[in-house]
Parts: sequence; C-alpha cells; structure tokens
Amino acid sequence: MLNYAIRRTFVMLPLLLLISVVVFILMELPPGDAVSAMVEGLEMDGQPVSEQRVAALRARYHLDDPLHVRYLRWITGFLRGDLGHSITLQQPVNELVWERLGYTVLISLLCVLFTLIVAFPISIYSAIWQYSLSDHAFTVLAFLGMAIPNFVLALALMYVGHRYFGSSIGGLYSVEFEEAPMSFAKMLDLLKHIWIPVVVIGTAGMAGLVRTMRANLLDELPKPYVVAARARGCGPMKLVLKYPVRIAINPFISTVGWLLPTLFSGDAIVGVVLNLPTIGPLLLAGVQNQDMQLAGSIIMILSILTVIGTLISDLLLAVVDPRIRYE
Amino acid sequence: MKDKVRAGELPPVEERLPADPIVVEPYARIGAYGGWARIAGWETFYFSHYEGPMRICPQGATVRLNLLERLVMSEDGKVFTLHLRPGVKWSDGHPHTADDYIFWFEHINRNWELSPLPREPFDAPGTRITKVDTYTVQYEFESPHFYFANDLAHSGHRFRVPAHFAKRYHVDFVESGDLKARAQRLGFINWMDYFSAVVEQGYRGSTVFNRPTLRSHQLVRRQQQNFYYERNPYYPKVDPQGQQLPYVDGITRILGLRPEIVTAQMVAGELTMAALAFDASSLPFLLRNEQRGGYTTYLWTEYLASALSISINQTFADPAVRDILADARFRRALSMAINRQEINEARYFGLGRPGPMFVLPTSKFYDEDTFRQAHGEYDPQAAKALLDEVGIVDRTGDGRRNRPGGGKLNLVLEQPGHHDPTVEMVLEQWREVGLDIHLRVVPGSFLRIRAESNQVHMGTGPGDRVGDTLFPNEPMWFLPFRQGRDMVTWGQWVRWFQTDGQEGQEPTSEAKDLMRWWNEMRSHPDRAERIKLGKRIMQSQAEHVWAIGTVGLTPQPVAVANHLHNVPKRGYWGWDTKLNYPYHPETHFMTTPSP
Repeated sequence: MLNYAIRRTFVMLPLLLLISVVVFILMELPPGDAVSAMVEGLEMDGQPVSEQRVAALRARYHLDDPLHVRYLRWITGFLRGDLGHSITLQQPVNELVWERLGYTVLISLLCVLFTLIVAFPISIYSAIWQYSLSDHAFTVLAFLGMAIPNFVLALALMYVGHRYFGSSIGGLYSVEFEEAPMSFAKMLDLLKHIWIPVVVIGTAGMAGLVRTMRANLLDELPKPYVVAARARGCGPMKLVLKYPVRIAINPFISTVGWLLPTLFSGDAIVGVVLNLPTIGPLLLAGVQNQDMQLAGSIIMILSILTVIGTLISDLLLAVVDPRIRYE
Repeated sequence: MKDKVRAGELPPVEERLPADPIVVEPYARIGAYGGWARIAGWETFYFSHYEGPMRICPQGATVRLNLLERLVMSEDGKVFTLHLRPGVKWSDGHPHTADDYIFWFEHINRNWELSPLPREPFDAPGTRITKVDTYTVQYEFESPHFYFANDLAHSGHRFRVPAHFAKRYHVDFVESGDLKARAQRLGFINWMDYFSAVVEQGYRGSTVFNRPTLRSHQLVRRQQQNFYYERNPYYPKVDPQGQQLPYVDGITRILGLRPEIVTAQMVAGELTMAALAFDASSLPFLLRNEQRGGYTTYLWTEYLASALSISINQTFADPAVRDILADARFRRALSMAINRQEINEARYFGLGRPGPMFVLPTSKFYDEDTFRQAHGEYDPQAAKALLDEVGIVDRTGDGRRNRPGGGKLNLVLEQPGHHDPTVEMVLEQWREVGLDIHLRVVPGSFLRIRAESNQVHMGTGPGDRVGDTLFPNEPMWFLPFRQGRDMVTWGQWVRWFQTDGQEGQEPTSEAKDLMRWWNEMRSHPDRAERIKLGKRIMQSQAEHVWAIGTVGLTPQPVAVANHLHNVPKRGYWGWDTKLNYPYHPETHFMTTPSP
C-alpha cells in the first residue's frame, strides 16, 4: 500500500510536466496574445495604437521571445511559487488568486455539502422504491438541474431572490453590508445571497451522482447478503445503510478527489453571471484575453489539484473497500 | 469636509480653491451636498470625468477653456501657449503647474522605454515644449496644427501627470536599482509597468489609492468587487453661489458586471445612473420598469453617423477577392441595397437618422449636396444593375450571385465582440439582391489580429469621430489613417503610409489624394480653405463609399435614479463628446430616495 502510494507520487511528476507543456501550447495556439487584448482596451479608450507600438509592447513583456524561452520562464517561476504576472490586469497572479480564494472555497464547499445532502437521500430513496412515482419525480428533477444551463438558472434564481426575498442583484452582499465589518447581520446577509450560486452549481452535478449511486445500489439490493440480513430480522433502515450503501458509495469516493480542483475554481459561468468574487471569472477573463500567465497558472494549479485528488481518491478507495487491493 | 477642516487635516475651502475658481452653471438647479452614487464599472469615469486643459461643448462641435485661463495660438498655427489657471491644485493640495506638462512630455512621451512611440500629435521630431513660467507652457510644432485645441479638449488630460508624485516612480529621478527592486517586489515585470500602473493608473485602473488627480472624485479604497471614490477636496470648480463642487460625496464602482446585470440592477433600483450598458433595444424594458426601480429613462442621442458602420477591405491579399471589394460600384451596390428606413423602424423606433457614412449635419465639413449623392438611398434595382455591371451575377440559378469568373462568392462580414441584430437585417437585405454574405462574430482582439494580417473581408464598428472635435484629427472612417478592430478598410495602405512606403501595399492615387488633403486640411492657414478640404474628403467618401453607413444619431437610453438631479433630459452620448463630459457631471446631486 505504502509502496503503491510512493510509486504513484513519483509517476505524478512527469505527468504534471507533460500537463504544463500541454497547457502552455493550448494557451499559445490561438493567434494573438495579451498585448492584443491590451491594445483593444486602449483603442476602445480612444487611443489609436500603431503597429510599431504594439511590437514594442510585445518586446516589453518578452512576448517576442522564442516559444521555449517563454515556457521556461513561466514554468521555472511557477515552481518557485511565482504564478507570474497578469499583463492585462497589471497585477501579480498570486495576488489576484489569493484575494479571491476565500469565497471560492466557501462557495465550493457549500456546493459539495448541498450536493451530498440532497443527492444521497434521493439516490437511496429512488433505488429502494425503483420505478415508483417519486423515483421518477426525483430523477426528472435531477436531470432538470443538469439540463438547464447554469446561467439561466442563476438568472432565474436571482430574480426569485430579488422578488420574494428582497436580496440585491449580483454579488454576495446587499448594498448596506458591502463595507460593513463582519458581523452576525452581515453573515445572514451573505446567506441570503450565497444560496443562489450554491443551488445552481450544486444541482448541475447532482444528476450524475444520483444515477450512479442508484444504479449501484440496485445492483446490491437483490444480492444474497442483503436477503440473508433481512431474513435475520435486520431493520430496513439499518440494513440498507450499513451494507449496500457502503458499497454503492464507491463511485463517489473514486471521484471525490475531483472536488479539490472544484474547490479552487468554483464555476466560471455562474461566477460571471452573478458577479461573484471567485476565481472562475478570473480564469475566464485570462483565457479570453489570452493572458498566458494568468490563465496558464490557474489551469496548472487546477491540474495539480486534479492529480493529487485522484491519488487521494484511489487511496481512500483502497481503505474503504477491502475488495480493492494494490500489488 | 468640514470635519476634516476642523480637525486640521485640510485647510479651509477658500485656501483649497483658486482665487478665481471655475464657475459651473448646473443644468437645472443649485444642488446640495451628500449622497453616495453606485455606478457600474466603466461608467464611473463618466460620473467623475477626466479634467483636461480644454473641454468639449455640449453640441460636440466646439471646444472651450477648462483648466486653462487662456490658449494663445500663433498666427502660423505652430506655437501654442497654454496659460494655466493659477491656484488649481491636485487632490493632494500640490499646485497644478507647467512642470506637470513638461514632465509628461520630457520624461514620459520622450522616454523611449516608457513610450516606445511618442503620442500624436507630439510625434513629429521638431516638436518642442518650453516652460515660460510656473503657469505658462508652450508647445511648438514644426508644421502648423490648427486643430491642436481639439486634442487638448478631447485627450488633453493625457498630456500631463502630477510631476511631484510621478518623480518617485521614474528612473530619471530615482536610483534605478532601487526602483527596479521595488517594482520586482510588487510583482511587476519592469519599472515601466510599475510606473504606468501607479502614475497612469494603467489602462484598467490598477489599485493605487490616493494618486493625485484633478477629477471631481479620487480613488480611495477598494473592497472585493467594489472601488470607492471620494470627493476631491481641491476640485477647482464652484457653482454660481460659490459652493465647491462636486455635490456628491462619493462613488461606489462595481466591477465585473455584465450588461444584463447592469440592466437588472438598474431596474431593481440599485444603481444611481447607467447608460453604457444599454442600447436602443434596452429601451422597452427600461421604460416598463421605471416605477419599480425608481428611475427615469432619458433619451439621449448617440453621437454617431452610423450606429453600425461597415468597412470593406481595399487591400485584401487574394487579388480575385480584392478586385471585387475594391470596385467602387460593388460598394455602392451594397450601400444602396440597404433599407435604412426599415432598420430605423425595427431597431431604433424610427428615432435615428438613416443615411450613408458621413460627418454629422452639425459639422462645418457637412455638405447637403454631397450627402445626397453619397449612395445612401434604398434602391435595390439600381444595386442589382450595378452588381450585374461588375459581373457578379447568378450563374447557377440558385438565387445567389457568383464571382465574375464563376464560382461561389464567399464573403464574410466580421463583427467584434457582441452580436448586433442590425447586422442580421443588413445581411437579409443583401440577400434580397442576391448577395449571400456570412456573419462571423469574433472577439475584438482576435479581429484586430486578423485585420493586421489582412485576412478580413469586411468589418463593422460604430461610426464615430464624425463631429468637429474629432473628425479633423482622427478621420479614421474616411482615409487611410489607421486600422483596428472596428476598421478594416485599408490596412496595407495604412502600413504603407506609416512606414514611408517600406511595407504594405502602395495605395491608389485616390488614397494618396485623401492623405494629402487631410494633411493640408490641418495645416492650411486659411480657415475657409481648411473647410473646403474637409468637404473634399467627404466628396471622395460619397463617390467611393469607403465605409457603408446605416442609421445614425440613434437613441441612447440614459437611466437616472429619481433621487439624482441635474442630469439633462437630452444630450449627446458618444466618444466625440466623451459621453456626458460636456454636461458637467460634477454638478449632479442626490437627494434622499423617496420610499
């Protein structure tokens, strides 16, 4: 087991190196770079920019260096913990990410919590009462959550929030609390707003989890050990939760590692629509502006978290399910 | 403010104001102090405007003094003497003097590292600047520049910086190792970036607080998604009763809002004023929700000859396509196939002014006769006849016209940024005369690159710079002066002119004429002759249809909360007037919102 963990860790390193190359190439593939986005900004501000000036700006940010030189500069900085510098926002990426991390993690954690609290009971219920009216109803609901585009749901909920709960539009706080120091009232105000992104992002991922859990549970329920347990008079509640659910939970555990990158990024589209101070919109802006170091570094962090998360999942799985063993 | 004066943090208001402050007549009435405005993103700038040496008048046609007491131009149009108003101070109380202009010119504009290419109109090698005395500064140009005052009004705020502040961040004044170390510690790539982030506030406005400014409000702090601006205690303007402006205490600038969310927030009564996020199509929704949101929608006019102007690449690489695009008859046909009346009704409630791309009627360079001959009338039969004449006819009988030699005529119209329904209407109307042109919506920066590498057939953009402030200096729609995201007409010719014939394609004689007329227009000593030259440029536009106009002077909704006052009911909203700049946003004031 320990052996396996160590081996996996070492395999991760070349994998991440490969990922960094792919990320860099992806960022470089479309024509243009951050300077073109910057020039566009200048032009929209009414400052005509000649081609010579564009070239000089490229030189200033070393964008005219050969590809490998730029890659090495970025990746060596990254390894030292310097995420680089956002050309279009004129701020170090470290700073940008750091100031948005808190709310991102908060929202994502609540989303996970929301998904779990809603998805687990639904899938267990649906499996036990398979093809019942309520099973169908829940299934439809879960699929709706997945099918409705997040931004539409976000807009709709924002409307509901404003119309019936009097919460302000966009952002995480009402006007009167924006500048106030943290207090109980401000916390309540935050809760009045934060449920919207949580529900939107949460429902999007629910359908998948519900369907796999339900299917796995359906596989387990008719198995002899369940029948045996029931024959010995084990109560229905205890019976289901103690045995089949523990096995049916496997697919959840094997993907739990992917929560890590989600925790870090939040959901870009919902973040943009709702004007949330999370990392998602930052990543989107970075990609749109071809701000290589901004977008590249965020994607790189996400990749690292994904890889680490997968490792954790695998190890957890081995711990939880004795049937899985590594040689 | 009074509390701060009592506490000794600020001198009394008489000492903060110039002896002879600038008196501003409010639009409706004398206001009262107080209130905190909430404005979305970019629009903040238009609530607390850049203050230049000169300013633009409400019609966008003339300019007048702002921070200057006098502007003296020499007879030959080469020497300009700026007499600054004494006693005007930056927001930290430091006097605004000739040094601020000199610093910008010598240490920013002329510093190669900082400004790789000097800025128009200072890029000519012979341009000089002299400090006459503390409050007098003199520009001297090699050749006459009769429209320099327009530059001072439209972008004059860029020609100076607070020298006493900027010195701390400039290699000419600070030990360069020190500066570079400081820049690096703060995460900047080089000292130039550090300098522009701090002093020029970057192009997105980096977070530097309390940087001295001449505007009515200055950035003081930020918090998550919001920037906060507070009243500039040294703002040099007063109302007719001698009360210092601005009236509004402060501004919250909300970052990152999408236009739809701006609309929603306005309707929910959460914004004080908004306009940039809207266009004519927002109007019904805004009007319907006025009651609920507690605001009023004013109908301003976009300062545009054409809300959607179409440029056509004259220098496209593939000669077969270029021959078509560069044929004036083809462009005339395109223009005449557009039913502008229909667009005006459907998109702008009949409130716009249909017509070709041209200067506005208020301009000195406008000529009614030429305007009428500019192929701006809807005449599909004539358009079809012209296309037949060029040889673009339907050879396969599928209703779509083919190239002169046969084969499909695959033309693409590219639009930067967001999708504008007007384009759909134009394309539909072109389809009616047998032209099947495709639409591609691309991000602005991407379109710019494509235009640079000469890959674009046709582009779209807002037809601005059509009034007397900007047309003489930046007539970008009418001659090969620049290209960009919104303007693809003559990329290779522009390059040819910019590199003195080293690169690009040699322009046609018409294009050379245009450039010659324009240069003469700016430097001819006789005013009547200058106007004649401007009109000649318009004649060329009428004949050659360099750009195609649709509907201009379209309605621009300006939503104003009911507790905000002194915003005019009508006005021009456009780049030429710098949006609401001529209407003194510093005199807006707020009362308590009615419940």
